Amino acid sequence: MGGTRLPSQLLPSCLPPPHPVYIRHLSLTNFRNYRRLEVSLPTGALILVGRNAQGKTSILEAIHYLTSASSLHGTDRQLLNWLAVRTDANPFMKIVAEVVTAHEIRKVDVRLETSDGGFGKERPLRKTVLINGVRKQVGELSRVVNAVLFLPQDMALVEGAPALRRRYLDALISQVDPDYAPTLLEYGKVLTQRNALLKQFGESGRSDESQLQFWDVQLCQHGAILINKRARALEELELYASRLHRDLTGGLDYLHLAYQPNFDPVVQASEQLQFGLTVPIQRARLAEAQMMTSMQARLLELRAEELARGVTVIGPHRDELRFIASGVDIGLYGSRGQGRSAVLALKLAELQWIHARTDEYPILLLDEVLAELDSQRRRDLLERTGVVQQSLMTTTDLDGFEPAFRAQARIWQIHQGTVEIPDHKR
Amino acid sequence: MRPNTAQPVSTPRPVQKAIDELSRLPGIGPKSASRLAFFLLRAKQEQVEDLANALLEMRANIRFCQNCFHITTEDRDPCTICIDPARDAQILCVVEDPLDVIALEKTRLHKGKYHVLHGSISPVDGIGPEDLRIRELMGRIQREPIREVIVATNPNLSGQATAMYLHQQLQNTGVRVTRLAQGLPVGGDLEYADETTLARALEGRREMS
Ligand SMILES: Nc1ncnc2c1ncn2[C@@H]1O[C@H](COP(=O)(O)OP(=O)(O)OP(=O)(O)O)[C@@H](O)[C@H]1O
Ligand SMILES: [Mg+2]
Ligand SMILES: [Zn+2]
Repeated sequence: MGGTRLPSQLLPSCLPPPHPVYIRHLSLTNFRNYRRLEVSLPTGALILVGRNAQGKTSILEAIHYLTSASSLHGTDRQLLNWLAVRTDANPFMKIVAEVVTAHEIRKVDVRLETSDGGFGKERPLRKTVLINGVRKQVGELSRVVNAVLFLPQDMALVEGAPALRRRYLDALISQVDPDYAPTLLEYGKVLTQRNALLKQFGESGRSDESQLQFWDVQLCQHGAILINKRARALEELELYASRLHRDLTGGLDYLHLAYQPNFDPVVQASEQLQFGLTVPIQRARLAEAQMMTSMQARLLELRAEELARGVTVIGPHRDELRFIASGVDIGLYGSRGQGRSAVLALKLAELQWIHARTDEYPILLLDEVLAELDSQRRRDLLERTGVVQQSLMTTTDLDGFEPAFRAQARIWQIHQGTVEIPDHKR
Repeated sequence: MRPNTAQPVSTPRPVQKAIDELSRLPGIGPKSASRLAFFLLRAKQEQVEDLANALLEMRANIRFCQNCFHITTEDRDPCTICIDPARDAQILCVVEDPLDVIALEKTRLHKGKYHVLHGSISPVDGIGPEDLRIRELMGRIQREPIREVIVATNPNLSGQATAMYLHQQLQNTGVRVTRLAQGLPVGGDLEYADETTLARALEGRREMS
């Protein structure tokens, strides 16, 4: 089952040879524990080795930040070097990279600067993105360079909290779709405003339809776009993930990425269960306008409840993504190993999906992941990373890599915010 | 490390108070506030007095026009725009704050009058229609020979929400309601738009529906 759904033109083996995209030079200023770093990066596999808390992950994070300008954990502020924050009058952080693409070399420059302005105590950070010296919108970064980042905590994606999977999905789509992040941001603002209004009307007992209507329309407009983009991304990603998953598990399990929009324009979630979880529902086919109208109608039905509770009870801010293998929700019933196989398949699928969408393979960033995998999965992973132009992997222990892999990789030592590059190596 | 037994010296109270007051101003962080405070400490007595007097005088003499709520002086209320016979009394441009009036005046394209709302609808900040000068606007529509209202609120969510609300309120009054054309930087502020962009937005205004 499922194998027949894979259109042949989407198979990785049938794709034209990959365009080269890699970072040739990286320069960091005041980024986490790097006051200053200037390095030329090789293509192929690069292993960053060092003891704990030396700055291995920081390098991967810098590259990831360069592709999205959004911090993985917490706020942008945490990226600014602490010492700079304490001693400099106007602390700033800067990441500059030279990206080699098929046609040209592009200079990408992302900065966070403390602006003098702002109300109250916290001085706001100003984020600037420059591509070839020209100021651009943050979303434009996705057009220049993409990366797939695999962190140890990603292993918890399958069984973790729903918010984790939403954040994953948002970061993923933002990588290839410049319109996604702005829509998400706007949706968030609308949601906050709408909730405040519902609360105020609910508490005072005086509601004003003419005011609610504007926020309803805004919520549904942006919400429909998000639902649509999420549905489409997951349908595409599943094609690759299910195939990879079958390979990884020896053809045992069919992996289904079950998108469960909280407001489901197709069918209510409870009915969906009765059909069995593997029945694919193609939500991406629905027109956004149609989705918008039905969501607006639903909001009107829910008016009394929303006013009583003072919050927006439906919408993509409550979406779910479940991982189903052979009809079983592995977030709930899967073994630890099944969860890992699913995450591994998903991450590898990202490489193929980003390639399909952008015509370029992303840079692969593996943080300490090998330590989390058994030797079979380790081999599965490393074998399949050969397609990318550039991969950076961190470890505290080189023994995690097989001698054959080590021999063809570059190995750099990371020590207290400095990089030691052995010059005797090839 | 040896424990430090020396008494830490804190900033003298009057200095700290000045810093605190300065950092309450928009656009001023604690570091800028300290810099300004120490600058003023070193400055000549007259300079500090001139500044303090200028601020007090501004507060004492500047007020909001009783008719349009733009800034004006005590001896000119209603303001010069409101009483100018050369202005087209049939066209009224509604803006969020006085800086928008100044920005629009620079384009020299708007020949009518203004109405300043002093804010925009923002439920999270607790600002609803009743907190804006909308009642006064409705009063003017009844009193004055207004035939067109140009809604020139900012092209961000709050500005849009305000525009929609005004549109609903004005629907049965018989006046034509128009909105500035798209083309202003989305999510931005009117006051920061350059003159040509603003002029184009004004000329290309459309009927709201
Ligand atoms: N904003 C910052 N300014 C200065 N140092 C920071 C900042 N943020 C994090 N650090 C520190 O930078 C160091 C390197 O962090 P990083 O996560 O890169 O280490 P790592 O080499 O990956 O370690 P591990 O093997 O434990 O994962 C840590 O000591 C961390 O506390
Ligand atoms: Mg690390
Ligand atoms: Zn006036």
